[in-house]
Amino acid sequence: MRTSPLNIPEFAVLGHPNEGKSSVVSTLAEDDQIRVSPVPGETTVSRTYTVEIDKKKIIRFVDTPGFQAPRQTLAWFRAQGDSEKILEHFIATFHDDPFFADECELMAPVARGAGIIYVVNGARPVRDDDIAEMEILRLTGRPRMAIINSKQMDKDYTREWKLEFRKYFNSIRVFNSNTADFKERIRMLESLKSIDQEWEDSLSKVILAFKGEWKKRNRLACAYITLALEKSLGFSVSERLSLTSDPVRARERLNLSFQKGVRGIEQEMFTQIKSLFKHNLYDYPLPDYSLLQHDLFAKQTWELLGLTQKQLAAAGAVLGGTMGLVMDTAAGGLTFGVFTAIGGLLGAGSAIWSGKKIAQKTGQTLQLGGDRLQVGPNENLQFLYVLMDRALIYYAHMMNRAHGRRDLTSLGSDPKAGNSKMGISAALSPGQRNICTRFFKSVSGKRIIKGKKAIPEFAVLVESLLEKIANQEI
Amino acid sequence: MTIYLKDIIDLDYLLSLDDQRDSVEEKEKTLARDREIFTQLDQTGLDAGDMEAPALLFSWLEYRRLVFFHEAGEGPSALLPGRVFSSLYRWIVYVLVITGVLSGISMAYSFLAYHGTRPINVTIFFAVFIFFHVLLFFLTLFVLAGRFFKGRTGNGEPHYSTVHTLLSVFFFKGFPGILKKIGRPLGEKGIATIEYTASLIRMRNREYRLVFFWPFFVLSSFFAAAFSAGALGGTLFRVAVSDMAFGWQSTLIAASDRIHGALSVISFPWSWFVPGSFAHPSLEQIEGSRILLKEGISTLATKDLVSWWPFLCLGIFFYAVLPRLMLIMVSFMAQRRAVGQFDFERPRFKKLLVRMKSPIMDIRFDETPVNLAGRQNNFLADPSGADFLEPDSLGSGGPGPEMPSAKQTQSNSSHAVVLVSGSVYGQENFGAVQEAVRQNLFLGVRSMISLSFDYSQDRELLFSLAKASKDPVILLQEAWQPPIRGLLHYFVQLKTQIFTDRPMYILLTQTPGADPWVVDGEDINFKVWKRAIHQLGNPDILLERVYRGKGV
Repeated sequence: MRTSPLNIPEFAVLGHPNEGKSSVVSTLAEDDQIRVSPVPGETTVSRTYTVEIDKKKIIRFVDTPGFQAPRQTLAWFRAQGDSEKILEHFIATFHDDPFFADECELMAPVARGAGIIYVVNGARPVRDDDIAEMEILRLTGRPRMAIINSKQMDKDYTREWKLEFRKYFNSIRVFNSNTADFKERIRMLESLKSIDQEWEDSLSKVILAFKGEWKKRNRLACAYITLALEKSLGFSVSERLSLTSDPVRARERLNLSFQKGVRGIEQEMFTQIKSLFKHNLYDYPLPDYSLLQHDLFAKQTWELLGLTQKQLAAAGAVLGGTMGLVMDTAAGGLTFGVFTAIGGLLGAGSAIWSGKKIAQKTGQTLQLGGDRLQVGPNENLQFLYVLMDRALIYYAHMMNRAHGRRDLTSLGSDPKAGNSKMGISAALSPGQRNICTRFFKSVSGKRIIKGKKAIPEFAVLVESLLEKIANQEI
Repeated sequence: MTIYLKDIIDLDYLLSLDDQRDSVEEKEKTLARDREIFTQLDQTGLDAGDMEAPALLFSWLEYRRLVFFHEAGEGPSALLPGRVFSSLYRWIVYVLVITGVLSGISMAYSFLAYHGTRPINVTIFFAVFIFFHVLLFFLTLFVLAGRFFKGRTGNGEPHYSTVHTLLSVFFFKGFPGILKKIGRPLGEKGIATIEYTASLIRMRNREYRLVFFWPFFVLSSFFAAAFSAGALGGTLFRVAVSDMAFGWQSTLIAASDRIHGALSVISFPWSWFVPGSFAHPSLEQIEGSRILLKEGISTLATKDLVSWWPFLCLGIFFYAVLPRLMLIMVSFMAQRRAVGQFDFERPRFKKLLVRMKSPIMDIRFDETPVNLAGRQNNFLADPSGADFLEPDSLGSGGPGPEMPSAKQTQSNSSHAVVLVSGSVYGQENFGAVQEAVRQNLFLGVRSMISLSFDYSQDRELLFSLAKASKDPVILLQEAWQPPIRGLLHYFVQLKTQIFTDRPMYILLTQTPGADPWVVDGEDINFKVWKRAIHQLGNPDILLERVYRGKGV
């Protein structure tokens, strides 16, 4: 094997224009800043993406321009006959010829030792130009893998491509740039190992590094989510009441302020999770059908996320109070208990969730006389589950946009089976729900000293859920 | 490793500074810095990977402090809330101790004012300087016990006592204000750091309550211990430098032996090592120091009247000073335990630990063009140095015959020759091709010729075709195939070297098959082709698309 200057694996992604080469590089290097243009031929210069771990280069991918003159290039190759230095010769001959500018660009990394990843669009048939390209690659004598990009599957020529590829390539993979996730990335790297034995060790290290990076993201996402839930569940706003102030209006004002504060905490967490997955350049909007399109305090959110009434009642018993049942009763009505409690509909709320109770919760502030009205911390257990479901759905979206689409279909329960809950929390086991309850008690003011283990336990649970989402187990 | 409260405060503060960094660049810098701290620890011989979470966090803190002070330089801005808290706390303790001692001395001194007319009332002295403190001490223990049980049962939140709250307010609001007024150079930054610490207690009090409880709790004990010590000192001073007389009065109690019994019990803590007459007054001395107003004090013996002071002093020491000192010691131990048990596994710290322990993955890109000519934007340059492409060099005959230009020979033919790629448009598509050409170009199809689209191979066939008829030429092309340079070059070769005397159409279609061949005018592929053909600059190469046709 000819090695690249720094003795790290290097792969040039080659192909016809507009076949999805940049998408493949984007997946392999996991960087959304990689150029992707709908217009063919926009890329005229190779771009090298070097993956570094702690500033140590571990692998390089080269996004190349598409072949522009495959038949003419093949004719030249054939005219040369077998030559070990055919690529160097080609570049030396045409390095100042604009006609072969793109060919020189795409051959250069291969000439310096890069392995070849040849990308085709599986939705179109094989043409003579493609055969010419494959023949050129064969004549280079470099290890090579073919990738069938099946991003548009309205027409599928995968079988036809595979038949052709078998004549020219050591390894073939089908890849969908719209659904490619971390596992696909690892599988592609595993396949690259097989095209040249000499790369096995270094690629194994790369795979290990990528897996480590993935684990790190999960752990950080878990810390962000746990911290945000802790903040939200302990969040409160308060205001000193003067003799002239109207307590109802003050309470409404506080309710709005409370909701704004919790939304802010959630948004901050979303931003942190997004940055973890290197979605830097493009603002990935959430799909229209995503549950996250609804506001955190919207009725639909509370209807579709969190625990079912039965589960909530059981959790309420664990909590040691009547809160769950009472809230559930409230939730079965026109609005939801928490919405009642924090939404200002105090007169319509249940007796336990009267404004008096909320107003009485003033222990969190230094008070030296005078009346102080306080809203929060929210004492509804369902609040935890709704927040948790939203965080996990957002994580799923960010981890993989396509994966995120599953939030209405496979996450949580099946609505057709009579269960209206769509989030993951409704599918938690009783043991897992107990962990959630302990966490809730610990961070919302129900317990202090004994709660020390509750947060780490909950963090472990969240991390395991994130891993399951990443592995598409839920 | 000993952890102090000021360390926890600084750790929280510096972490919150990091959290406030919003931009991607700043976050990346933070990430790199934290990882760098970890790697440096590793390089110094410490096995950072095996370090406990607190040790790792405090190594991080040390580094951050160094950088913080280096950046802030000398002066008021070089303040971290932990250090400010620590200094303020020390000042508060000094103030409370001094105030306590002075007030104890002055109170005892004034209380013990004796002018020879009426002895000091032992009962009142005992009540003020001993009993009241014992009561406060037990009240404190009661509050502590209540807090402990509330914490254990999880039944509601343990609220701070009023004294505790007042002290907190004094600490965070009153005292800094006083320092500011008297010109102590705290500076804006100093005040800000105090406010930060105050908010730490208020807003995150669940997390920090345990570690902040004891320092505030113990403040009252400092004052109480200092007060009692002052009172003890004042009493001893009075006894040493003036003539004192103590006596007792009671309407209810007539028998001195009951007083004696009570004194024996009270003096139990010291009576085992202090001589009998010193530990507490004897029965005779008690009897001898009883004041009956109607009889006056002249009848009372001086030795009896002065016999009380050792008992009272020992009582102050054992019941007022010592318990408070013990409480202070216990508080220190409890504080150390609380700080030692502080949860560094919380998500707030965990994310820092993950940042430190995990390698940073980064993607860097660069562009180094190999072929500088490619940047000249010469869309369709002839291959210079590519003699191999010329038919001569491939031994396939000389250049074709001299062909007249399109302007010289205008064709009025109603039929066209259709050139297709044999592998795409097979003969089975002839009917569909005829239909497409007729409906879109209004021409009949004289013949459909399959080509390889390789000029060297097709050249002979095409020359003979050009000689045979003057019909316009139509090249069928799949729209989705990008107009690559090699293909366009082929078209130009056809037009400029063979079909020079007639227009040449490139008709874009969809892939032959079950679907219609219609190419939409808004199709990106059509637009790309339009641009490419336009860039060729040859008006006789005309681009058309299949835009209608039922059978196609």
